[in-house]
Amino acid sequence: MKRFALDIATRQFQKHGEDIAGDAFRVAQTPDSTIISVSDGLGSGVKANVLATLTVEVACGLSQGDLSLEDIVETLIATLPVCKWRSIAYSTFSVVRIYDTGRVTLAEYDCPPTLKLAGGIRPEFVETFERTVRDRNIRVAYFRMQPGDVLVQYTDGIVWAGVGQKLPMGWQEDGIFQFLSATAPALRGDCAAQANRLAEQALEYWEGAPGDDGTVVCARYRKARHAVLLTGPPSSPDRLPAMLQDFLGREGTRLVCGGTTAHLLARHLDVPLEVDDRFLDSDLPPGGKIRGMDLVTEGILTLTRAAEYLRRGIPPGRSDAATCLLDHLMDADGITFLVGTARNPAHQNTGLPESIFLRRVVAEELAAQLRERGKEVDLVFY
Amino acid sequence: MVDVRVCVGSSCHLRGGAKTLKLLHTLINDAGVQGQVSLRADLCLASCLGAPNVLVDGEPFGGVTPDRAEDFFRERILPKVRNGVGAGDRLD
Ligand code: FES
Repeated sequence: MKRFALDIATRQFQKHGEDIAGDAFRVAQTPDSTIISVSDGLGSGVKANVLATLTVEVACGLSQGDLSLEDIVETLIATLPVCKWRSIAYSTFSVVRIYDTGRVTLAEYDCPPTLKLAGGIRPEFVETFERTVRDRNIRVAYFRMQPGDVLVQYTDGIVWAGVGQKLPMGWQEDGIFQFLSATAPALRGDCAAQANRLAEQALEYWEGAPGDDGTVVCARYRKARHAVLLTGPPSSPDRLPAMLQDFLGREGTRLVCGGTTAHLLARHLDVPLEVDDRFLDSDLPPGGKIRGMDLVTEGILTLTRAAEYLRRGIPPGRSDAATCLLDHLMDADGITFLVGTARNPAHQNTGLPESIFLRRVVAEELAAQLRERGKEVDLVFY
Repeated sequence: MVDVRVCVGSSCHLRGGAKTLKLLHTLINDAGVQGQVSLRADLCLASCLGAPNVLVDGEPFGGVTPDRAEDFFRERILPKVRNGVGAGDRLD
């Protein structure tokens, strides 16, 4: 499980009169790192968009292999089309790789300098040094992020905001730096809010009619939130102590899904199990309350419903044990399922397909849905 | 006090346990004996095969489907209330 996580937020606007942005942005995950690439295609409109998209796609695609960021940049430079007339590349880029450990490598090519907000509030320009890759000057940086730090990447449309209009010289890097100094403390590392504030201010300088495409990407490095979900009695009763100890020994939000499971746990902890009367009216069985647990629900039906909600969406206004469970799961970055595989003979002849009562199947389905939403999910079977 | 616990766990729920619970609640109120009956839900009474299950003063009953709720109330709960005998009451 990753111990740290990134909140990533982006805000984009296009040049006045264009209906497609010439900037592009992509995020890719590897088992131990996240790659964020931002690119500004030369010019604007469709052509610029295609070039920028190509650049970020290549960067993210390559990051899935075993390549270092340096190798990726070299390949990017080698493949970027070059404008014959102006003999400059058709797109610029900023590619940053943030490892789970907080180690960061950054490569910038012809784009505005990346900023770091230390503790989410104090801006610093990331210190870079120049390297020549295939006759081109790349700025690279190797540094560390601490939990709470935010990285801010942005494109020319932000730097030049208001140029020739409200601001004769444009906003400029220093202007952005000062703006961040002034606004970041109140935003407390809220990436979405920070990206919004920057883009809104740029748009204001452009007086609502930007002369260039603009993109802001903010990424906050923070401690990962974990959840552990216990469901079902183990295949044989003598594995119960190990299963419960495993559950109680893990850090994070504690979720219990299953009536029998809840009884077993309450007995183990020697605390009462009460029925949670919040959802008695829903068509799902109600949950319970056990001291120290964040949520106790019925098992199979609730888990199946939660997966269904992820697949099809939660009907508007719906609030039941499954939506409650999803609130907890979606809030976590990493989730461990401890799945007991005992079969309950009573689950036969209920008129429902038997496979839905196989806890393993139900848990795997929910896990797949969660992974699709970027969650890291581990399944442990007992 | 007569102690009634209705299971609303997975198996019992699928066979109408929640409805049974609601019906018993209404029946108890209609009979005006809510002061003498403590009605609670349970997440699993560990005899899922006989679902829906109800425990009356610790005595297990299976197959208490919603359509049987009224008879069940009259045969198993009401007499206990009338006799004034329940768990925790002294018999001597
Ligand atoms: S679910 Fe009712 S007894 Fe198990």
